[in-house]
Amino acid sequence: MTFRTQFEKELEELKLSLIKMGDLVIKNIHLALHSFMEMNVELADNIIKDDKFVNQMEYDIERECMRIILREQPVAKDLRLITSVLKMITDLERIGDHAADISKLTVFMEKNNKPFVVKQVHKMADASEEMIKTALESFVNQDHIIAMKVIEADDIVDNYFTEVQKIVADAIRQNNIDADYALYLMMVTKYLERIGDHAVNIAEWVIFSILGHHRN
Amino acid sequence: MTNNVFTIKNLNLNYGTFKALSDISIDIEKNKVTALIGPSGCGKSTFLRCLNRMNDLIDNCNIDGQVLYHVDNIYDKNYDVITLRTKVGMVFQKPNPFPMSIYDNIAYGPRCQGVKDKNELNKIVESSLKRAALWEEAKDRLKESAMSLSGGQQQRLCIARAIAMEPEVILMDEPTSALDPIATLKIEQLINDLKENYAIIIVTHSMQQAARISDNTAFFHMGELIEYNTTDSIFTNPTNPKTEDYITGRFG
Amino acid sequence: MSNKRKRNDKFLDILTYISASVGVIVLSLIVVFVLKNGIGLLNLDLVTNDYHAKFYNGGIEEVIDFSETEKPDYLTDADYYSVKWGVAFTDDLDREGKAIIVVSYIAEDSPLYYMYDKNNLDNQDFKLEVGNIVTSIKYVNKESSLSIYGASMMISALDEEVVFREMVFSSLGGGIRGSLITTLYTILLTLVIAMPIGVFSAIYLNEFAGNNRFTKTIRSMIEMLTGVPSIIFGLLGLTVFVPLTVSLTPADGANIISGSLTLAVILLPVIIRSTEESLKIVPEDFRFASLALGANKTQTTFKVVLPSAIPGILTATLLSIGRVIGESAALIFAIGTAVKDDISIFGKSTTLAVHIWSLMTDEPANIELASTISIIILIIVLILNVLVKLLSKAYLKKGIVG
Repeated sequence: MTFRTQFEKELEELKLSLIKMGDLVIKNIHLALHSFMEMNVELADNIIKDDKFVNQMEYDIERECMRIILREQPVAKDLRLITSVLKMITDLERIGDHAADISKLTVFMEKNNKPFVVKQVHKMADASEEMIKTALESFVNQDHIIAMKVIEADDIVDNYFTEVQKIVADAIRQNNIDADYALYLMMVTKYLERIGDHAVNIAEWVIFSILGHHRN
Repeated sequence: MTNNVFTIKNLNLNYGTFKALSDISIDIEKNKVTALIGPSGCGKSTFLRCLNRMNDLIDNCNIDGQVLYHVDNIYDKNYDVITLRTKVGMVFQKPNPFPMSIYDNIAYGPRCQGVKDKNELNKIVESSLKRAALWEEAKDRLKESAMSLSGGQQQRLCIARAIAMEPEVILMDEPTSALDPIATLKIEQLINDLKENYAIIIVTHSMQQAARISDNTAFFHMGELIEYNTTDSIFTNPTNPKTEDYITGRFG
Repeated sequence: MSNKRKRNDKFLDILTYISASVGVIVLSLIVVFVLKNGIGLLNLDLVTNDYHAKFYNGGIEEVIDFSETEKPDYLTDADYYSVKWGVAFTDDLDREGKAIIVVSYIAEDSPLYYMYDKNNLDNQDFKLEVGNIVTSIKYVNKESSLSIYGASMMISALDEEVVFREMVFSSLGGGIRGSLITTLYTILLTLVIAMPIGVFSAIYLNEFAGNNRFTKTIRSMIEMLTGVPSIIFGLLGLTVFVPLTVSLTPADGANIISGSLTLAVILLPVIIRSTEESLKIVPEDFRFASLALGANKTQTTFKVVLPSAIPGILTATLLSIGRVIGESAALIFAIGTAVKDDISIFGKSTTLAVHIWSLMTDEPANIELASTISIIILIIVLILNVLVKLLSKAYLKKGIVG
């Protein structure tokens, strides 16, 4: 017998808000990388502008969490859920920032830079997008097993990063890559690696909200 | 073992044919606040009354099992109930000061134990009122009737009255449920100060109060002790689903 | 609201008003009747005088020192004064309406102080007092003065002489001092016997006894006793307490002690029941709080419960006193019906109520005096009422009552 129907509704809406924010952020990463690869400044500008929507969502979800704490005095699982959401939106917002950072690089790049394709970069982007998706899925389904998978997947992203590093270093030594482009490419790769870390954070908070203990 | 004031083993209690407590085993720690929570009729007040043998006053009450105050079973045939009650004080849900002056209320207990010296009584009254955070408000009205105090003040008087006996444990049965929020807050603050010197066991209907003031929490349901742990654990990560359901309000 | 309901309500209202009015009217009539008939005789003398008139015969030797006091200013023309003898007589009516001569003043240097008791020559305390009735003065060589001649003539006759053979006078009598004292003794003794037994029995029943069939039986029996007509207790008094006191004390018949014992038995169930009710009203919380502090049952009962119950017990006391004053039938047997002036607890006498009975059974019935006594009884009851209310208030103020 559930008494707190109002509370349950609020929790469901909170989860939905989080998913929406996650979806927006994932879209932005995808488009940001796309804009970089194609040197599409217009697209990059849009992504930078869109970031304010991400920030607004963080703010809104934050306010909603505070309201729930005030009104419902959550304990146990409910308490862990709310505090996890508060932490997760921080990571999502950071991810959004990184997408904007990548887009800013696109804008800074000069048109005459010769692009140098490293397919591991694309793979990194796909992997980290997947990690975010999976982390949010594990949150919605309250499935700590797949949350663990996210944490494991970070190794893959880190490996890709090391590979890209090697490839670009070699290319510089062999003078196959434009120096400016190489630097920009490494920065993009670094951002993608950071995005992976944030996805891991999200997964760790999901595990906390389900099991009650943080991985650390 | 030495950190426990009460050690209860396999306590069972029947009112006639109704089983009010089933196989309760629990250790109560010294200098801590232990909260007893649970839905109405779950046995928490009954359990509390076992600790100072106030259940003796109820007809048809049968008790089985051990309640050790330190090392002695208080339900032994020859156990001195009177002394037990001076060491284990009780504060009730509805403030119940005697219809006497404030002074006489507090001096009542000591007088019953034979204290006659006026100076000694004066000292006891002052110290008890100070420890109950009522001295400033009461010191100029000691001879006035206790009934002239407000509800919150009366409850603090009852606490002072219990403290005057220099107990080791103070039992509180929903002490703030009849009080307004400010009086409640004052009493909660008082409890926080008192736990330095006394072990406090408090029955409360308010989850928030239990979370605010207690160190350990015991969850009772239908006469059974379902879960007993530190308050932090119970309220952030309870192990028993019944506990979780109760404290999150998913059932009453 | 329908018309029928309105009519019903109106009917009930009218019924209520009429009943209340009847009650008030009847009560007023009683008070008015008693006042009208009794107020005439009401004065301090009535309360302090003996009932039985005492008769004296005074003789006197030839007087040498006469009085020289002039007639005091406060005496009126109705007081006939003899300077020589230093005495004033006045005309008055006795309680039966007969003409009498009353001494209204005696000077300090009046030779009448030298009168001796003709019936008891050793009597040192013999003297004429203000308020005495002079029946006659017998002279040596002239005819006696009688009261029917009036005060004026008696004084002039006396003034002409220097000595007289005999003065016959009496005290007024008809006073109720004796009965008043009896009533007060009875109240005191009855309460002293009944209150402790009653209160402690109630304490036992309510606080200490278990809730079993035996206790319930005792309670029912006590309840039944409250309904027994008091004349039956009078029989008990006559057949048990009178012989008992006769054998144990200097008494030789019905006496105040046996009367008090009888009344105590009548009052005991009432006191027990009222006290139990007062004890029941004391909140259970107080007992719990006291026991939780480490007090035992005795301390709890006597230090917390009993003080709280005191207003109720005081009211019970008042009820009892009222009953004592009003009780007549039982006391007719247990104390007797002889109106006495010197009261001993070992002897017969009458309480005020029995005195009224005695007056009313005389031929003719003395309604005036009976009414006067009734007024006095009402005054006593009024004083007691006020006293209990004041005591309860004082107790309340001390914060004793919850």
